[in-house]
Amino acid sequence: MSYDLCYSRTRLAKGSTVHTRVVTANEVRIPEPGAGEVIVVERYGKPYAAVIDADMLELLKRLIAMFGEQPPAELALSDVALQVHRNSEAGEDVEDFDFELLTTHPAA
Amino acid sequence: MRGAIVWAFTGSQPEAPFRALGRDGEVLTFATAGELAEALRDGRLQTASSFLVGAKLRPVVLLQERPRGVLPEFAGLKLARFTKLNPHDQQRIRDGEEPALLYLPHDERKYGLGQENAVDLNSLVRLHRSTFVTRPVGYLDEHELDVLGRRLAECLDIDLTPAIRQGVIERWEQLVAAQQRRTPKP
Repeated sequence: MSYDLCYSRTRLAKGSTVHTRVVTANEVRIPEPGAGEVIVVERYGKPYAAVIDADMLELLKRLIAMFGEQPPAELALSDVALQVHRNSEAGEDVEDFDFELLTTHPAA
Repeated sequence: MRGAIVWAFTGSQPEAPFRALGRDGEVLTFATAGELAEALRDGRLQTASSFLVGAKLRPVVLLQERPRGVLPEFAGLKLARFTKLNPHDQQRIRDGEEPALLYLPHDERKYGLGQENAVDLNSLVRLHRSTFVTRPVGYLDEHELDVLGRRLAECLDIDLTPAIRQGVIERWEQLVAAQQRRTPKP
């Protein structure tokens, strides 16, 4: 399983995403990385590509998700949340005050 | 008071068209903030703060403690109902699938409210103590406050990753240093 995927010259875009290109194990010949091992492929004495196992790939993805740039929250705001917010701001869907609370829970 | 649910008057933010009191107490309307500023410059307003805005008595959850009592204002979030949504969307809120809405089921002993509600994380308000109509009628628990804090940071676009990253690095360095101390030197 450790050589299912080969990730070559992965680049971090400005931001938090990693572009991956998937190739099957049949298409490439790579050494099998052990658990927690990174195999660095050198060319002209410099790192050119790296092979990591599936567990480390998951770790890498989590770290990128954790430390990557966060998009503005408004972009992720759903229609449901937006509708509730608008109704609430308009005072249209708010619980009615129980005036008994003036007696039972008066402000200090 | 952190996590307390109180009923308070929350005021709307001034927004166009602006209504403000003139020098003789009359209500003046201005289409833009620029026109309002010109009226202020020309001395046509009573004071700069004489806006007429709406206010509503509603439940809010307070986000801060004020143990010294020197700051009378509290940050809070409004509680909203969601009866106008279709049943499917209502269920999404109950199932916790809407990160911007923290669901509070109907639990009068815990929350002090007569119906189910949701905390609207996009409704951050500042509340003066004098606007509180009741003392706390209920409280969010520690877990709910923890979830609320994390989600609120996201909703406010507060980037906590530098602090988390620094914490991870410091912890990592501590572990490495401890391991090196244990490793016998040749």
